[in-house]
Amino acid sequence: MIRGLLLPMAAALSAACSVVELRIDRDLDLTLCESFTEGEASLGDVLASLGPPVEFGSRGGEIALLYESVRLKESQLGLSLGAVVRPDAGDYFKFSYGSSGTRRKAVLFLFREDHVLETVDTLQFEEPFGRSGSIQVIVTVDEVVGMGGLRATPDAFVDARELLNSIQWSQNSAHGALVELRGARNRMGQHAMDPSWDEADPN
Amino acid sequence: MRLLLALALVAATSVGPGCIRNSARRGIEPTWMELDPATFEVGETTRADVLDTVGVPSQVLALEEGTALYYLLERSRADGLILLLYNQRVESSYFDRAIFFFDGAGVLTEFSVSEGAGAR
Repeated sequence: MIRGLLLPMAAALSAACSVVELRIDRDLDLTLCESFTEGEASLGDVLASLGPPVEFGSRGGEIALLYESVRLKESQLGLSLGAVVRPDAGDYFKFSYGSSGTRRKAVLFLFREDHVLETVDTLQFEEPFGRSGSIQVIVTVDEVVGMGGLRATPDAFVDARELLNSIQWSQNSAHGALVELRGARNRMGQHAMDPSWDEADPN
Repeated sequence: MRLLLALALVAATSVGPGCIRNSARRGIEPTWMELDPATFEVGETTRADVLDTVGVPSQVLALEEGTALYYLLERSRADGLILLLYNQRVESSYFDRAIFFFDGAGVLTEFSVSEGAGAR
């Protein structure tokens, strides 16, 4: 009887699931953001209503403000196949499956040189960020779905370290010169000449 | 039966549930949150006044005509629950921010400060 119970117990103890949630900034009220009239609202109106932006930039007197909120959820399932097949086999084989998805909101305001609102646009979407499965022959703990881009350090915290980066990276991310969503892909647009994240981003 | 009880006892004491909590702060100490917003007056307050009152900013942006000072504090907190079969971790990052715009003469034109801990 005891042997009969051991196998189900081992199977139960060898499987587990984990849920990881990441919340960046407070949820954005898009209806409030869309209430500003283009050609009438001023920079001061937007700041007074929404507070300081997540990112801002300036080009030739024009000003861009970006507000953004990110919700990310990652689910993982792990199963030690070795322990299920033979309780004394240990964790020689491990099956992992993970998936993650995001719910994101963003608003971009562009102001003319006289600080009057030229245009405002909102973005709201949910997307599966990725899913992945693996079978391992050794026990490791690792992130199944990469989320490094969303966890990037705010530009405001990147100071003199930029001077040590490659010239393309420094030019494009230099304070306030570039306004972009979290996790935006490099090697495109203004980042066309950038090295990859791993090579260039020191954060 | 004794073996089963012993196994249950070992499981309860050595691999029982647990919890995790950690928090971190990164950035400029938010002195602006202790100040009355009336401290800053558009058209009157100067860049030097803001620097004296709030301190060194996280970021300085050169505008076409003028400058902007940006202050940022990140508060992050993670709570985790470890149950044998189900584990959960919730990580939140909230930011306290302040931004000040100045014209070419260094006089305040627009500004905004977050209100309350973790406000946007």
